[in-house]
Amino acid sequence: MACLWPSLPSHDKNDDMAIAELIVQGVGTYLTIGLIFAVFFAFAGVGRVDSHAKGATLGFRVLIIPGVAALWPMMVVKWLMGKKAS
Amino acid sequence: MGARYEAVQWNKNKKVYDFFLIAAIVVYLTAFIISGALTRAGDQAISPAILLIRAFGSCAFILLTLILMIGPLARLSSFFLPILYNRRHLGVATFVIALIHAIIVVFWYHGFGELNPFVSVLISNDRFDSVSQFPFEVFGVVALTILFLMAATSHDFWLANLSARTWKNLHMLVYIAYAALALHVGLGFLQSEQASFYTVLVYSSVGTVIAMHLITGFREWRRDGKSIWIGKGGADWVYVANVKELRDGRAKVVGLGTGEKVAIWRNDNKISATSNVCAHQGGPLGEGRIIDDCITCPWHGFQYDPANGRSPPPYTEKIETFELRLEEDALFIDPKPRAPGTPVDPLVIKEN
Repeated sequence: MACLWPSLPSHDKNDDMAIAELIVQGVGTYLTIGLIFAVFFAFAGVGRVDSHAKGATLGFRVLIIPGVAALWPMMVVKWLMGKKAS
Repeated sequence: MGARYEAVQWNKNKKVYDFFLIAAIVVYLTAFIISGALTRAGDQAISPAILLIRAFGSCAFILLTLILMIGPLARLSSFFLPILYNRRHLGVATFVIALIHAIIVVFWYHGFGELNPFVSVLISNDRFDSVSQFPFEVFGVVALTILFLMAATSHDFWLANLSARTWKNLHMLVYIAYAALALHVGLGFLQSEQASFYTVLVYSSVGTVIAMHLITGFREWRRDGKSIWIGKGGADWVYVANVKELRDGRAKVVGLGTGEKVAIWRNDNKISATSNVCAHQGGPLGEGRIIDDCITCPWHGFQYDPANGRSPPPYTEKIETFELRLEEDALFIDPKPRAPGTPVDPLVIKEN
């Protein structure tokens, strides 16, 4: 078996597990909040952020949900700024 | 954009493109699964789940390789331009195929234990000191995450709302995704599979992608070296072409030595000059052609009237236009661009 480097510092399996659970829970929470926000945004807020989205088709609104769920903090700011401007 | 957003702005070309894309994917997956089942009989047999994992994984790798080769290929020959036309759908299809691969992997290898399957993916292998047992899954996660972000932001809504620069930078991550995918395959599948055919296929794919980019980059560099030098103070009129060398419905692209490129168009007996950069995603307009009297971008089919650089209504995109002058057969350009969308009367040339 080829070895990349001879010795790595030993680490605790329980620590690995705790970190992995933290990552999975963190990502899961972020995406759950994002998904809930994305559905509201796609049907109620997107028209305030982009005028071309006013009266947009159902297909378009569904299509942007995954992207909004991933980038929701940025879209929250844009929505709030859009409300301020209007 | 000037029109109301739709999920997909379908036209006949996109439907034909998607039909061939889906047909090619179905044929590949079917051929891979059937040949895998037939050639791996008896002691060599592998489970249907692993066969599916390999079929979808290899399909995603081939599609991403194709995506990265289309740009250079289209620059080398206009024959490949039709494949470039709807690359966006090719990218989304690649993500969907990669996602199916990942879902089967997670459920098959991590879905039957007590641990959360995603936690299991992260901690099941910590052999970072080994090549043959390296936790290659991490590279797959990186590639899949990038492919997701690219697919999820592929609609024009994101181009408008992320800003063109951010959107472009995000989508340039495709090169990181491809590197991660190559490592995922090289440290994963190729370590367990000794068949040299797959090794040759993977390394030749990566090598071809790199070579194609180097070749087209070198050609661009040489072409830029032949740019017309207008100097720091600019120039009034500079020679750009002999009118006889212009092909009907096509453009000659000329560098101005300032980094800007101009496309000189011939549409029947009319000659016009516009910026070479599409206002949509910065596509190379001069590599497209004139369809229905409109300059048509080879990337996504955005169109402009050559006489004023404006997209036909209801679209509102505009590109810069340039003044031309004809002396005998010699074509001269005023290198100072007119504001995007400024009408400039085309030069009318005599037939033949």
